[in-house]
Amino acid sequence: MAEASSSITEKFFLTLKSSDGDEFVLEESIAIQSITIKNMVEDGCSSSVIPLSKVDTETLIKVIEYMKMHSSTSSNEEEIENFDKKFVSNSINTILNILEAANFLDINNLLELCAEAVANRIKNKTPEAVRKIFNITSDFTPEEEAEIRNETPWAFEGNLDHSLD
Amino acid sequence: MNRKGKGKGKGKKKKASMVKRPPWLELPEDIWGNILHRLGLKEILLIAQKVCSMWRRVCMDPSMWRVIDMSNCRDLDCIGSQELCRHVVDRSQGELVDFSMEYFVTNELLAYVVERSGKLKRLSIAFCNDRVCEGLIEVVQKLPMLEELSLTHTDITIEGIEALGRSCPRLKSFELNSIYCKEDGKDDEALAIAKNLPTLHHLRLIGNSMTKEGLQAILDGCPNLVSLDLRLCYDLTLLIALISGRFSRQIKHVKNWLNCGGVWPRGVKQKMLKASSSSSLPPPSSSLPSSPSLPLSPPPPWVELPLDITANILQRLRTIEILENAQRVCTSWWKASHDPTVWRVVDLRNDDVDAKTPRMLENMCRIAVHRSPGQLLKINIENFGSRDLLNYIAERYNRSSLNQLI
Repeated sequence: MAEASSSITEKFFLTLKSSDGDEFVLEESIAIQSITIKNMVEDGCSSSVIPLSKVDTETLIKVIEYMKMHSSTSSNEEEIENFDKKFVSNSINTILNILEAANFLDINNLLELCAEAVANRIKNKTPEAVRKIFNITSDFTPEEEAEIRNETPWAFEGNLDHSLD
Repeated sequence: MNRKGKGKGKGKKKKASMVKRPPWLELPEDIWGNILHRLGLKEILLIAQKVCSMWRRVCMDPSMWRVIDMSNCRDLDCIGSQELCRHVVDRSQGELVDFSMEYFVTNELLAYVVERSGKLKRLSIAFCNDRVCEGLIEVVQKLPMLEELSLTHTDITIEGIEALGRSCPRLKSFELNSIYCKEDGKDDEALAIAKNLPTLHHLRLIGNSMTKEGLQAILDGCPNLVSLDLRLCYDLTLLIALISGRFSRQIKHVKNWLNCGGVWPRGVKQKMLKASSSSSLPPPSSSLPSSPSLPLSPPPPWVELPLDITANILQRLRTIEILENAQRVCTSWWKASHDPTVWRVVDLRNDDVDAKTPRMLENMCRIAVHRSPGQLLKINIENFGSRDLLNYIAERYNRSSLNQLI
């Protein structure tokens, strides 16, 4: 499929360039699931290479995989469902990179899918575990810490999970 | 599509060398809002807002508190829930549009909520019995934007329904659910809904006591209705009216509920089964009952009624109603409609069935006779019937108890 001849590249294929400088050729009908790309096509800026300065190669490959699976021409619902399920089992770092790319490229379905996946990783964890999972350092002052502690005196009983899976 | 090789190795290498602070915190805050609003109340308060100052900022934003579901705060006591309720309503700063609350609600608390939530579009209250009955009249008057009101095991007075109609012109959906009927055959609520809530699109009255007349009033009074859920409404006149398909033209969008015997609110099914096992269901009558009153109290979920009871109901319908409508409703009715007791009397007189051709009637008659092995007592046929058909009947009944053939 891949090697598109240059004569039809302009009409049916787009070239996307990752922040690492790798170029990917993709059918226009698949690529315009990204509203950002769609707008570029409509503005006539698609004849040359489209630079995606905020998306690295690894992430772009994932995004392209997703767009191919979700394009109208391919796959039935069950396939898509299974694909999505597998897709969100990527590492949290990968998911967050994809989420960022989906936001930049304006691919709403992908954004929703990733947002849900990220939220699922937060559920039932302690704040400390969440910080580790997301590699976030607490930037609260001791006063703020105390304030937060006092703010929720309700005795929720549920057990929070300290593990990092 | 990949012109310059996979590029994967390169990406990985780059990542390994990059052990800095994650770039995700630079994602716009509204994206984090999108992620964090998927968490429950408890997760936002106990986890997300404690992680870092940016998440905390996101969690403090009133837009995070448009939809609040307090129906699963079971691990809090009443006082704790009420305190929490006030806290989250304060945080929403008037942005609240969708609020679900439960047993802990009092008139006072409800007043606190609606006082501060003029934009509320959906309100759901469960398990308050008659505790907020009076308060609701006041409450609905302060919610001009209300589109959906859901009350489960929470009473509303007739005045409350009237106030709802007066004060909430946008109301599209109303639910008044119970798992047991308070009184048999009472149409007060149905008539009040029909009279005061003409804008409804969706109506759910699980376990309501209405009769056929109540249903008719609702269908006449709420012309925009697209869905109607009458599960656990067991008034017999209503049941027969629904089974017979007499309302099928008017409520064609509603039929789904008949097919959804397997879908019950959580926990309800168990309670119902328990209730029905301890009750005394009438024994299946062996002769044709003369009056259509069947004491079913307390009500079992009627799609799961024992086969003989279902058959007992179905046999009160006309032959044509069974064949055209009732047997198509669900599998248990399909089975019941094959029970020989349903076919003791086959009535296919023409004034009942004017729109049918003789051929269709003859087929129906054969089906009916076929399903009644040895049980047929009485058969009415008018203006159709061929020698073949009569032979067909006679072959099966030449020595049996068939005692009336008209």
